[in-house]
Amino acid sequence: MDQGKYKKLNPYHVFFLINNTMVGQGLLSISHALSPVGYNQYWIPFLLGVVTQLVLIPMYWLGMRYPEDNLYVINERLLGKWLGKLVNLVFLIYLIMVFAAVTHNYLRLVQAVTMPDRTMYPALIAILFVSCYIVLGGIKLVARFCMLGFFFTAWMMVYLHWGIQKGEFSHMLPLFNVNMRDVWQASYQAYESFFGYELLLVYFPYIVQQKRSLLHVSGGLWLTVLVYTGVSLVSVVYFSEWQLENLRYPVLNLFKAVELTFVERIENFGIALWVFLVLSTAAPYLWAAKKAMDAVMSHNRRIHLYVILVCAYLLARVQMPTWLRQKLFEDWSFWLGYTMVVIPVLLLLLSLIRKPATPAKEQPQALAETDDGGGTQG
Amino acid sequence: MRRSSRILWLGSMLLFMLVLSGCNSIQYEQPTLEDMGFVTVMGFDRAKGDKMTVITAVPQSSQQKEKTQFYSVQVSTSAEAIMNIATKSERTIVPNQMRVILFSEDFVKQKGITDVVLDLYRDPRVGDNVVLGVVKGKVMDLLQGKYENKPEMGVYLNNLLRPRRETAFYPFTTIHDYIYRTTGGTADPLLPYLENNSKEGDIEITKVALIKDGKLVGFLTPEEGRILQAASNRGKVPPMSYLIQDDPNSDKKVRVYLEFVRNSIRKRYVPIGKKPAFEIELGITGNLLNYEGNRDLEDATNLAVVEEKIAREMEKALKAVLMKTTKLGIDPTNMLEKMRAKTYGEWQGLTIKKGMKDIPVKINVQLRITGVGTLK
Repeated sequence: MDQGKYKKLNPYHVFFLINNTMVGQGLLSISHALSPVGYNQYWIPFLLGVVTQLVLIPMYWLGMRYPEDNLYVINERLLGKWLGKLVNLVFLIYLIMVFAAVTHNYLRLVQAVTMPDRTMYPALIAILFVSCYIVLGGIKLVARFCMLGFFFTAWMMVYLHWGIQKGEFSHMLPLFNVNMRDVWQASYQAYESFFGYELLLVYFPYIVQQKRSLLHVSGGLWLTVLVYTGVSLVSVVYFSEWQLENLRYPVLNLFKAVELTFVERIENFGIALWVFLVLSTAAPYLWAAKKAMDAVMSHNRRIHLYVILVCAYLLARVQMPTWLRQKLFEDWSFWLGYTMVVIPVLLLLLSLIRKPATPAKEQPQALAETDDGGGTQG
Repeated sequence: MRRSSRILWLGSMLLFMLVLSGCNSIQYEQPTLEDMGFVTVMGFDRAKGDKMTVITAVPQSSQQKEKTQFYSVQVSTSAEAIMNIATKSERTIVPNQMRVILFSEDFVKQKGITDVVLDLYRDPRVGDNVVLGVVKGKVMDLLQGKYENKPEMGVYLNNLLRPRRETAFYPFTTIHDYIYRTTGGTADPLLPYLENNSKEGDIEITKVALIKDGKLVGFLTPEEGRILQAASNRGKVPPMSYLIQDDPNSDKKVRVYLEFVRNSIRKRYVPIGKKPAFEIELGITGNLLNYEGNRDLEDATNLAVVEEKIAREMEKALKAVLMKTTKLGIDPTNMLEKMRAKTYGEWQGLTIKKGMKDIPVKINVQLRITGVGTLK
């Protein structure tokens, strides 16, 4: 599959990669994350969209300066071998943590809602197995899975109709009775839902139309903003402020509002289908983590993928205090996520200060692979 | 991989599988669908002290006849109830198919229902569309009454309490609606009041229960409920009947009966200076199916007079209902939402509700009769 062609991500691949990597992680709880601003929340996704768009521009510039290198190679080129490797190691830890957190959070939801009396480790192994399978197919397969995930789940937006029907539209009237602290807290909490675009520089070298990629990336981003705004609007209409603050997964309760004549408790169906979104978020992170490990170890080996999977399994499965898991999956991964967003901006500044970028004489081994069966493709 | 190492690898795997199976914990058999007891109705009666009696109806289908098993336990929380009932039943009791939750009148008056509903809302196995109701007397008596020619209790109560135009004089409150209204700080929930009509062998929705802070504070008659629903939501309204003074030369009132009623409602917050005030504009269209007066309704002038008289009666009825509810410090029409939507700063719902009886409400009803039946 995809053998011999280095650049393989077409515009629509980039579009869905960006969109699905973001949505699978944050959609379920975006309204809850935005609850500090109560009913005024539906314009915050737009605000965060603008911020993300602004961050994407330096990322794009950096990518265009080093069109053949991924973020890890750029790190080593601009920060030096050891500092670059250290930063790559930090990225690797972050990517493994996000991968583990996404699968763990989803399985916790499944256990709470649909299978409270079952142990989740077979399901965890199944998700890890499928993620591994997708990643072994290379970045193009990851992107294709994102497309599949989008079309399998996008129709579920129809279910928002029940929330609109029963809701109170006057909640939407803008009062702006919030202070800057609330707006900051809501934006800070909700920005986690926008993470996913930071992987752009990892798969940037594989994009076919690199010059026009900012347009395609922006398209994916603004589709995400549209989805978040839609869900947020319906949540504002349907719930009270107390509900927004106290329901961990408001989208789940929006599913619960659905009443069909031929099937009941549609939320179970929705949660099961959500696995496509979770996989399309988890797989790009796993793929990026594999690339990070290749860069840290200076070798491209399939075993790196299996090591990451074992680490993720242990993170998600090993008994640890709730506070520690919360710190790992919410606080630390959150801060590392911000780091991964900020570092490309710093790298761009550094590259501008240093002499103009020249193509690498020698491709580092992490990127020199071809998509044959020898290693992880992509 | 060499052959010898492959054999070694396979052998050690087999050994591990054999030995490590001893580390496995006891696996309880997962119940099949037939082994599950799905609670369809849950009832709450008051018990001694802080406890409550929880009754659950679990349908049991056999080939000859559908039967319902009832389990009752005395507990402190609803979650505890499911746990304790599990020890009484031969099947695994689960609340996933719950449709109706009933509270005895005494329970709602004395104990309040917010904590119980919150407990159930927290449980992801319980759906948000489960309907709530208040029962005259004990829930146990109502559930165990004899109702000839009626389906299984869960199905019967679910069908009775589901939205229909005929019974639309109360707002079919579900768990979500209850939590939404209780925590929203503007509207207050209303619940249907059920009575065991043992003479006729059925259950009847006789009144609308008014709830304030989770407790029962009063009732509305179905007539009051109808006009209140018309003033609360836009859409289809149940049939309405009024007595109007049709003949100016006679004290005798004539009855009119409106069917296929639709409404449009516009509630506005129109403060006078700094004092709050509301305006309600209610537009009603419907067919006049019964008119006992002497006017010729084919004549447009006569029809306009009748329309005007019915509209004024509706205004009076709505005013009376709002007076009754605002005196109790509750807002069943969600009028206060209009005020909240225009109030900058923290919403002081409780304080405003206390003074609601003093807030002027201007009511204007416009009626349009679209048909007068097929008989002249």
